[in-house]
Amino acid sequence: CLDDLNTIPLDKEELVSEVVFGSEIGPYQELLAKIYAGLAISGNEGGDGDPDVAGVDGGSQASFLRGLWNLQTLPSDEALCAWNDVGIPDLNYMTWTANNVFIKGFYYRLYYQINLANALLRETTEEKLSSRGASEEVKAQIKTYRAEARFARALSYYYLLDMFRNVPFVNEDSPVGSTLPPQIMAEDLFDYIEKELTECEADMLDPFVGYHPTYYGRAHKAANWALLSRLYLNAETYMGVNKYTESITYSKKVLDENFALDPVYKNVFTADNENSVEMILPIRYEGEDTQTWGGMTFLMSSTVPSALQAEINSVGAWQGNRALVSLLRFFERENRHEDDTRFSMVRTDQTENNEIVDPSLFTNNGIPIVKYYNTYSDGTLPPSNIVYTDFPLFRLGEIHLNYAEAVLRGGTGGDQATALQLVNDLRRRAYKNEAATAATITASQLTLDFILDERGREFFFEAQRRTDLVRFGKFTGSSYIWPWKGNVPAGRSIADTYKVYPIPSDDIGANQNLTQNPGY
Amino acid sequence: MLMVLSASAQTGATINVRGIVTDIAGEPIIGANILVQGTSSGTITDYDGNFTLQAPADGVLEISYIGYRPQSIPINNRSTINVTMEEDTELLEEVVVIGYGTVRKDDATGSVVAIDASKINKGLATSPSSLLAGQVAGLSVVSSGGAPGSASNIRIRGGSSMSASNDPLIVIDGVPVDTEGINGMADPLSTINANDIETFTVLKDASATAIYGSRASNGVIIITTKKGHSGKLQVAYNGSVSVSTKTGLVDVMDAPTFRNYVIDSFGEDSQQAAALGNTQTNWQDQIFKTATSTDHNVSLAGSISNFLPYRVSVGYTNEKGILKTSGLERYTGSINMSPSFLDGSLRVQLNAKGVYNTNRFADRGAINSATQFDPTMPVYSETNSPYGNGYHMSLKTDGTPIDIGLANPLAILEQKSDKSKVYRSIGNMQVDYNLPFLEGLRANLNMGYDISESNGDVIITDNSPMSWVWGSYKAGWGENSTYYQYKSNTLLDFYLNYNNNFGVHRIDAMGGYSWQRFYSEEENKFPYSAAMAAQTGNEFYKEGNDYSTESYVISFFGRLNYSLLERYLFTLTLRNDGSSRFSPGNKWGLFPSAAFAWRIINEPFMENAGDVMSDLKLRLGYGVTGQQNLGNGDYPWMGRYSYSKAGANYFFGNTKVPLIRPLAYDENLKWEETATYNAGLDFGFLNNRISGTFDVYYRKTTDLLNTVGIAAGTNFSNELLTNVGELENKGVEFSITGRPIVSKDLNWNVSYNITYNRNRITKLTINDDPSYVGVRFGGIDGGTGNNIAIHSVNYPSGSFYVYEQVYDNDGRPLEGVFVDQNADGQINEEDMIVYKNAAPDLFMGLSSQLSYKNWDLNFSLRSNIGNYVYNNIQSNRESRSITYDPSGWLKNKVNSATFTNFDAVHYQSSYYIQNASFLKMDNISVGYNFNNVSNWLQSARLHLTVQNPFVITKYKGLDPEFTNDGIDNNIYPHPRVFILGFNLNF
Repeated sequence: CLDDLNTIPLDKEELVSEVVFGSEIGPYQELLAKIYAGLAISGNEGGDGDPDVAGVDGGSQASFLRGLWNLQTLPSDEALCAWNDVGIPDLNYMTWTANNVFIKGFYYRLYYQINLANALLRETTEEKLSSRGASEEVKAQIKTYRAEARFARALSYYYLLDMFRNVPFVNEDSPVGSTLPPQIMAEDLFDYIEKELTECEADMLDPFVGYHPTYYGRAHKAANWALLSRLYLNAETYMGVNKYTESITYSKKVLDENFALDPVYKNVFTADNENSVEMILPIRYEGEDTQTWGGMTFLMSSTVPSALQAEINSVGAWQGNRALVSLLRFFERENRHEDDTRFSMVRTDQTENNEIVDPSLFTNNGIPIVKYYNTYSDGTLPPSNIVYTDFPLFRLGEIHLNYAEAVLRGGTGGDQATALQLVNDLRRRAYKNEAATAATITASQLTLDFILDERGREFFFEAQRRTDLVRFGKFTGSSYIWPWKGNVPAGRSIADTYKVYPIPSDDIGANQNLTQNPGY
Repeated sequence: MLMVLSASAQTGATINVRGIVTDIAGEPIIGANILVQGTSSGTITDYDGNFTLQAPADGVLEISYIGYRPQSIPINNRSTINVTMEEDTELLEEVVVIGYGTVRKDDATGSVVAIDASKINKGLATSPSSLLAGQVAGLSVVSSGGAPGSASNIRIRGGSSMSASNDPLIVIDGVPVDTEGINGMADPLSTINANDIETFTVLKDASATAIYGSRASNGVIIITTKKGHSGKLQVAYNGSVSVSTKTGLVDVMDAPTFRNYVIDSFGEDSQQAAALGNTQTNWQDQIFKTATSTDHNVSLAGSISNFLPYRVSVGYTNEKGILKTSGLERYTGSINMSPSFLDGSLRVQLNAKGVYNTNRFADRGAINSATQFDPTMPVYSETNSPYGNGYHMSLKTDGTPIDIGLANPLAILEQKSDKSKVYRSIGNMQVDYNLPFLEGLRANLNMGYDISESNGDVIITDNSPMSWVWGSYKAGWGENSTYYQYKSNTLLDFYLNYNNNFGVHRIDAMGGYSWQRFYSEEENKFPYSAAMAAQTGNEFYKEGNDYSTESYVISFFGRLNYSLLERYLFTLTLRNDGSSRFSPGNKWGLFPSAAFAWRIINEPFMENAGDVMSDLKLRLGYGVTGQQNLGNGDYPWMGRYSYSKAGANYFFGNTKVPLIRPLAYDENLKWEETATYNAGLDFGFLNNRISGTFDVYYRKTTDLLNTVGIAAGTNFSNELLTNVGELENKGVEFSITGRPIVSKDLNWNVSYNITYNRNRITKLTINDDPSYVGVRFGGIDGGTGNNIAIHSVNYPSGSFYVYEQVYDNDGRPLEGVFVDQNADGQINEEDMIVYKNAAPDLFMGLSSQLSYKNWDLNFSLRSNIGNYVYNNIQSNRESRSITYDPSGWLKNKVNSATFTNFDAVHYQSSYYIQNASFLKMDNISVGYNFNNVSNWLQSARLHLTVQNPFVITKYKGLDPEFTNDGIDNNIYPHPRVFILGFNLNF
C-alpha cells in the first residue's frame, strides 16, 4: 500500500519532460514557439490566462511589448498616461522605486524568456537528441532552433543591459531551482551578448524580405545584425567604451540585404504589415490565435480616441496614453511638417488642449496618437477586431538612423555621404511628392540633435525613446526639460539615478548576490 | 439467539407502578420518558411529573429526559417509585469524541470543545457551519455572504498558512472529508442536514489535533450525527417558512442627485451632461427582491427488535435569495444503523448521508453594476435598439454597443443562467470488536467514502448586454460553458485500543493505520448557443479541456493516555504521515505531541473547596502538526510541461504552432509544520452552574509553504511555492457558561466566549532585505492590476498596503495628499505603509436560552472588533474623473462623493480602509412548546425567529461581514430572515 504514494500525473496533458521530448520535431518547435510567443502574449491561454509571470497582472504588467512600451515611452518626452493604476504615475513622473510593478513585470518577463531559451538548449544537446533517436533531419532543424534560442536570450539580456545594467546571470549550465545566480557587471554582460550573437549567427536562418510562408515570425541573420548594430551604438552608454565602428559594420550588413523602406510609412503599422519589405523582426499577432490585453491590443486601445476606434478597428478605446506637447515639437521644428505623413498620426484635431493640464483627464489634455491600425493597408478589415497587426521590433528605418548616427559620432567604415543619403531616404519616404524634395537636408544640417529629433519623428510610440534620450544624455539632468518631467507641469531636472531602472526589490529580497543600482 | 437472551429478562407478574419524577430542586419534570426495559411499552410524565404504567414486577424502568442523566431503576415489586433526575450538564462532556476514539472529558488534556447541536439548533434551517458561529472561543465563522447556500470561512485560532489552505479538517462520523468541496456547491458542509447533527467537537490545540498529523494545523472539527436508540419509534418533523429581505442599500446617488452632480461638476453644456438620460431608476431596487423559502425535515428513530437501532431522515429545502434569480433546492437523506452482536462486544455503525442540490447562482456583478449604472437611464431600451435583447445598454452615436460599457444590472441576472446540479454522499461502516482474549482490548475498522459529482451550465444569452461588453469576444454571442466534476475520496482506518486500570494507574493506548485516496476529474466545454452554432458551423467557440488527478495520504499513528490517581494525566501522540504530494525523499513527516493535565479539584487539599468549586483543571500541551493541502495541485514537486490553450499560439509562416512550456517546481518541497504551545484552565463553580475555560496559545509555523518571489533566472517563474517563511499566532481564549436561574418555571442559560488572536509573519524571503515590502495580492475593482493587500514581515498576513491619507480640520480627506513617510519630499511607493487587516483582533459570542413555562426565548449575539475592510465600492465610485467614460456613458457615484470631492481616483488611499467592527445579532427566536398534545403527538414547538435582525457597526458599506480578503466589492449582503417554524415529535 505504501507504493500508492508514488503517484505520477494521471492526466495525459500534464506532462513530465521524459514524456514530452522524443525523436519528433513537434515539441521542440512548440518550445521555440513559446519563446517567440513570450514577446507577443503573456500566458498559455488566450487573453493572458495561465500567466507566465506570477504576482503581477499578466496582460498589463508582464506583457513584453506593453512593458517595453511603458518603460521606454512613459518616462520620456513622448507620452503621459492618464490612468492612476499603481505604478503608472511613477513612470510618468520618473519617481519610480524598486517596488514598481511595471518594472517588476518587465524584468521577470525577460528572465522568463531567458529561462525558456535555457530550457530549449538543455533539452536539445547532441547527447540527448541522439539518445532519443532523433533523425539527422530533425537534428538539423534543431540546430537552427538552438541558434534562435541563443539569439532570443541575447535579446532579453540586451534589454536587461539597457534598462538595468548589472543583473543576475544564468545560462543553460545553471542548475534549475537551487543556486542563486551571480550578478554580472555591464561590461561582462555586453561581452556575453556580443559573443552569443556572433556565435549563433551562422546557424540562424538566412535573411528573407517580406513575408515567408515557412519562416516569417522567426529571427534570421539580419535580426541578429540589427541587434548588434543597436548594441554597439549604445556601447558608450552601457560601459563607457565606444563601438560606433562595429555598429556601422553591422548596419551595413543589414543594408546589403534586399530590405527596403516601405513606400508608405503607414503600411509598416497595418494588419498586413507582414508583407512590409522594411520588416526585419516582427512580433506577430494573428487575431483570436494570439489574444492578449497587452501587446498590440494595448498599443491600439490605449492610444486611440473613442471617436476613431472604428476607423482603426480596435477592440477597445481605453485611451489613457497620449502625447506630450514635446512630441509635437519634434515636428514643429520642421518647416513643412504638415506635409510629413508621420505627422498625420499626431491627431491634434482630436483634442482641445495640446498641453496636458490635468494628467488624470482622458480627453482634451494632450494629443492622441493614432499610429497602429488593425486594418489592411487598402482599408479592408481583417477577420476580427482582435489585432492582426505585427509590431516591428526591428525595421530598416532604424538601421538608416543607426548608421548615420554612428558616422556622426566618429565611427569608421562608413561615410558622411551615405549617412546623409540614408537619412534623406527616410525623409523622402515620409514627405510625399514635391514635399519630399523640400524635406531633403544638407550635410551641414545633419547634426546629432537633428538625428535625435528625426528618431522622435520616425519612431514615436515605437518603444525606443528612453534608450535614445539616455544615449544623447538628455533623459536625466537639466539639459532637456519636457512637461511633467519630474512631476511638475513645466518639467524639472531629475537625478542621474533614473538613467537605469532599479532591480526589483523582489529579486533583491530573493538573491543575496545582488547589489542594487546606485541611488535606489 | 441474541433476541432470546435480551427478551428473557421479564417473567414476573404485571403490576401497576406509579411515581413522580423531579429534579434535584424538587421541581417536577414534565414529559420525561418512562420505558419498561426491553419493551416498547412506556409513558410520559404529566404536568406535575406524575406517571402511571403497567410493568412486570421484576422489570426495570428506564427514565430519560433531555438534559438529564438517564436512569435504570429495577421495580422490585414496588408500586410507587419516585425518581430524582440529575441534570446532565456533563452528559455530553462526559465523553468527548477525539480522533480515533473517545476520552472522558475529565481526562482530556487538550483544548477540546464539544457542542451539543440540539442546544444551539432550535429548528432553525441553517447550514452546519452557521450553527457554530459565535459558539466556541477561538473558532471564527465568517459567512461569505448572503447568497443561498453560501459557504463560511471557518478559522480555528487564526490561519497557520498563507498560500496553503487554512480550513480546518472536518471529520464526519469518522470520515475526513474533502473540504475543498465541489464546483457548483458553495458550502461543502451543506452535505449534512443541520438537523441530523448530534455534536460538534472542536479540537483546537496540537495535543488534541496531532493525531490527525499532516492535516491538522488548522484544527479539526469532528461532527457526529444522530443515531438510532432502543425504545419506541420516535418520529420528528421540523419545518419552516421564511421570508428574506434586504437590510439596506449602497448609498449611491439617485437620479436627480446624480444629474445635479454631473451638471455641477462639468457644466450644463458639457459632453458629460449631454450623456445624461431622462429616466429615474433605482437599480438596486431592480435587482433585489423579498424572497420566500421553505424547509422540511422528517426523522424516524427507533430500533428493530432491540437489536438494530436505526435512524432515518429526509430533508427538503427550497431557498430563494434576495438577489433576483438566485436560489437553491436541496434534498438530503441520511440513514444510520448501529447493530451490535456477540452480546455487545461487536458493534457496527453504518452511516450514509446524501444530498442532491440544484443551484442557480446570480452573478454578483449585478450588485457592482447596479451601484454604478447611470440612474438616469431606463431599465429597458426605449430606442428599439437591436442590441441587448430589449435591455437598455450604452450605445455609440452610430447605434452600436459601446464595448467597454457596464452591463445592465437586471440583464446580468435575467440573461445569465448559471445552474448546477450536485450529488454528494458521505458514508462509512465502522466495526468495533472487543477482543475476547484480553480485557480492555478492542479493534476498530473503519471504511468510508465521500463521493460527489456536479454538472453545471453557464449560459449568457446571445445578444444580451453582457455579450457585447464582457469577455474576450464582445461580438454579441454569449460565452457559454458547461462543467462536470467528479470526486471520490475513499478511506480505510484500522486501530487497536487498550484501556485498563491498574490500581491508581489508568492506561488508554491506541495504535493504528490509515489509508486515504483523493481522486478528482473535471471536464469543461465551451459550446456556442444553438443559433450561433448554426450560424458559424462550429459547435464550440473554444477548445474544451479535461483533467484528472489523485493523491494519497497513508499514516501510522498512536496515542497513549496515562492517568495517575485521577489527578495527573498525560497524553502522548505520534503520527507518521506519508503524502503522495511530495518527492520521494520528503514524503514522510512525523508529528508528535505531548500534554499534561492536572485535575487540581481532585487533590486532597481541594476537598474543602467542594462546596464552591466543582471543577479545576490545568492543562499544558505541546505538539507539531503539518499542512499538505498546498492549493497547488497534486504534483507540485515535479518538473512538468503544459500545453497552451485556445488563444495562445504563435505562427511560423503559415503554420499555427501551439505552445509548450516548462512549469516551475520545487523538488524539495516539504511539509509545513506548526508547533503549538497551549496552556489552559478549566473551572466550574457551584456544581458547575458556572463553568468555563481559559486558554492561552502560541503557534509558530515554520517551513511555511508560501508562494514567494524567487531569484530571477533560477526557475520557470518568478514565484514559487516553497518552504521559506515563518508565521506565528498568539492568542487568548475565554469562555464561560452559566445558569443564573434554575427553577420549575423559569430557566436561563447563558454562555459567552471571547478570543484575542494576533497573527504575524516573521519571515518571508530567503534573504532579509529591508527594502522588500512583501507579497502583494488582493486585486481590486478599478483600474488594471491594482492590488490592495500584502503579506509583509512583522505584520499580520493579509494586511492592507496603502498611502496614509492626510485630512483637513473637518476630517475631510485632502485630495492626493499623503504622508511623506520617508520625508524625501516626494510621494512615491516608498511612502506606502502596511496598515490594518481584515481579521478581527477580538471576536466574541454571547448566546442565551431563557424558558418560562412553555415559552422560550433564545438569541445569539456575535461581535468582531478590529477587523478592517477596503471599501472598494466607495473607492471606485467617488471620483469625478471616473464619472464619464470618453466613449460616451456615465457611472454613478456614492453620495459621499460630494463630501470627499475627489477629482482623480485614489484607490490606494488609507481613507478607504475602514473599521468594520460589528455587533450582530445572528438570530433571536421565541418559541412555544406544547406537551402531551395527544396520544400520537408527544410534543410540539412553534417558533418565530428573526435572523440578522440588526447589526451595529460604524462601517458605511452594506454589510461589514464577508470574506474576500476584506475587499468590499460585489458582496452579496446578508438578508434579514423571518422564520416561522414548527417542530413536532410523535
